[in-house]
Amino acid sequence: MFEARLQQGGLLKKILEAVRELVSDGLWDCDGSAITLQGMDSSHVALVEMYLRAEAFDHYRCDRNVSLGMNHAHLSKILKCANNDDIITLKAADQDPDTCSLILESKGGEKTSDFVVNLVRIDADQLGIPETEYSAHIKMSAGEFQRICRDLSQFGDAVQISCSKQEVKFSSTGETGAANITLSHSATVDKEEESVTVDLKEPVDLTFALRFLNLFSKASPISEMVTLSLSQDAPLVVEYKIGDSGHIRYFLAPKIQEDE
Amino acid sequence: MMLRSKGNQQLDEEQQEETGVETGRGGPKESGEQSQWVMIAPENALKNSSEESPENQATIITLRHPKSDEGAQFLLCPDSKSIHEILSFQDTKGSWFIDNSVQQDGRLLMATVVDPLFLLLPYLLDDKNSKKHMFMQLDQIITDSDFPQCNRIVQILDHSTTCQVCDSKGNEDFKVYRYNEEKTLSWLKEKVERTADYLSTSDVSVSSGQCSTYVKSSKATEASRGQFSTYVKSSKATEASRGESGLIQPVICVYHQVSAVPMSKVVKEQRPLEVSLVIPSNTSVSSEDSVKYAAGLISDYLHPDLSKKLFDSLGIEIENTKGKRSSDKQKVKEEPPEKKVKRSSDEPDEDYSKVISAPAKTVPVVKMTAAQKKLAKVDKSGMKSLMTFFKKK
Repeated sequence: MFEARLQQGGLLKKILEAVRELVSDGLWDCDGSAITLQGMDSSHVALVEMYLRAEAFDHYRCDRNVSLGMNHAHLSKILKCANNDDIITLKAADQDPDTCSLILESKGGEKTSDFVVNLVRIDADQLGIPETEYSAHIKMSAGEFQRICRDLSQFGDAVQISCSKQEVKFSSTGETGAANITLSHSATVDKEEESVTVDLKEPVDLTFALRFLNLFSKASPISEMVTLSLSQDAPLVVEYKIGDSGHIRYFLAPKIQEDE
Repeated sequence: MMLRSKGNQQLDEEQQEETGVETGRGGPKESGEQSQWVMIAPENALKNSSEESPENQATIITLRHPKSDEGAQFLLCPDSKSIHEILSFQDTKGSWFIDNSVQQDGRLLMATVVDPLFLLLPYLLDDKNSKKHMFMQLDQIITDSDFPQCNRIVQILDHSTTCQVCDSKGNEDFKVYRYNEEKTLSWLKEKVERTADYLSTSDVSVSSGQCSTYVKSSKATEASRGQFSTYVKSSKATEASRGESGLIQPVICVYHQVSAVPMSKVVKEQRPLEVSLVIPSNTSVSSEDSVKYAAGLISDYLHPDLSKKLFDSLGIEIENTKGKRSSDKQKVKEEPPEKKVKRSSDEPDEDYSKVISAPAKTVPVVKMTAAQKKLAKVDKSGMKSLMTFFKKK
C-alpha cells in the first residue's frame, strides 16, 4: 500500500508544471523515505530530478517500493481540478499497480473528488548522478533568473554564462546584435530574495541553449531562490529547493564548440 | 498408421472435407531411381488414368508457380479437366512401408485441386510480353521457354472459365483473349468471399495471432478416442525445383482415424506439421478476420503485385512483412527449446497473419506538448547527451 497525503496540494501542481513539459511520461519512484522522479527530454541533453521527502507529506506510508509510471499530461488534467489549498492524497497498490488514485479534498472538507489515472509503462534508464564539486555556484532570485532567460531569448538562441571574481555575465548574440546582463555579488541581509551570491573556485565560461533554461524557469513558483552550479565542460545544474523537504534539479549539457 | 483408400473426395473448390488416401505406385516417373511415392490425391484424379492413351493420362508436370515464378510440380488430369498442385510434407525422420517394401523417402505428397486460372494469370500479366494488350489465342499467350509443358494448361481451360479473367473475341473455332484486370479482381473477390464464408463456418481458427496450425483439442485429451483433424497449413517444399509451395485449395483437412494410439505418439508423428490446438468451433470469429485470412490464402497463388491490388480492393492493409518477419524470428529464438523441436527445420513460408495486418495494437501516440516541439527544434550542436556525463544506475 502506498499512500501519501499532501496538505498543500498546490505544491504538487507546481511540481508537475515544472516537469511536465520537459518529460511527458515520468517514473515516480516511491520508497519509504521519499518520492523521486527522474526524466530526460527526448533528445537526452537535459534531465530533471525531483526529490520530495516523506516529511513534506502530513501522512506518508509506503510499505513497499513502488514505481508509478505517470503520463504527465493525464496527471495534469486531474490536478487542474484541484485548488491550490486542496488536500491531495495519492494512493496505489503495492505490487505493480496499474492505476494510481488521486483524492482531492477541499480545505473545508465539503468537497471530495477522486480520480484514477492509468499508469503507463516506462522503460527509461535512470541515471546515477554523482555528487560533484562545482567550480561556481550562483544563487539568485528565481524570478530574476527567469527574467534574464526570457529577455535574452529575444536576442539569441544560446546564452553564454561567464563567471569571474564576484560577478556573473549572461550574454547572447544573434542577428540583431548582442545583449549582456551582468549581476554582481550583493549579499543583502535584509532581503534575501534580492541578493546574488557568487561562490567561485575557478572562472567558468559556458554556453547553453536558452530554450531549455526558459523551460527550467517554469519551476520558479516552487522556490524564491535558484542556484546555478557550473563547472567547465560539465552539465549546468539549476536547482530549486522545495521548502526544506526536497528539491528539483535540472541538468543541461553545455554547448561545446569543437575545434576542427 | 494404416493408410487406406477412403475415396469420396469432394472437389468443390472451397470445401474439402475429406481426402482419400492413395498409395500410388508410379508418381513422378521422370525423376531418377525412385519409382514410388505416397500421395494423397482425389480418387477421380487418378481414375482411368492407366489404360487411356498417354495424352490423357494423369501426369506430373512442372509449371511456373503463380506466386514465386519458380517451377513447381502439378498433377494434370486431362480426364477431369483439373489440375492439382502437389505439396510435399516431410517428417524429419521416417519412411514408408508399401506392401512388402520399405521406401526411404518418407515424404507425403498431397495433390489438391487448383484453379487453372491461377496458372494462367502469370502469362496474362507477363510484363515482358509486348503483345499484352492485344487479343491472342490461348496457346499463344501461354508460352514459356523455361517450362515447355505449360501449353498443357490450355487443355483444361475452357472458354467460360477463361472469360472470368479475360475479355474475349471471335467465334467457336477461333477465340482470342485479352487480360481484364477488373474481371480478375472481381473473380478473386468472389473467391475470397466464398473462402471466408467457409472459414467462418468451419473449425479453422483465423484469429489474427494465428501462425500455426491446429489439432482439434477439446477432445484430444481423451487420447484413446483420438480423432484429430490436422490442418496442414504449410508444408515447405522440400524439392528445390518446387520453389515456394502453397496450398492448392485453401484448406486441406486430413482426418486420421487413429484408434487406440496414445496421444503422445500421434503428436510425435505429426511433428513437422505445425501443430497446436484448434480453438473450439464455438469461438466467435469475426468476419473481418475470415476475409483477411481468406485473402491471405488466395494471395498465395497470385503474383505479389496482384495480391496487393486484391488487398487494396478488399480494403485490407498490408503490413511491412520484412520487419514482422525479423521480429518473428526473434520470437522463435525466445521460444523454449522443446517447441523448436516441433518446428520443421524450415521456417514456415506461409504465415497469413504476417502478410495481413493484425488489428493494430494501440500504441500510445506520444503527443508532444508545444514546449516539447519547440525543444525538438533547438539547435543542439555541440551538446552532448547527458548519458556521456552520468552513468546509468
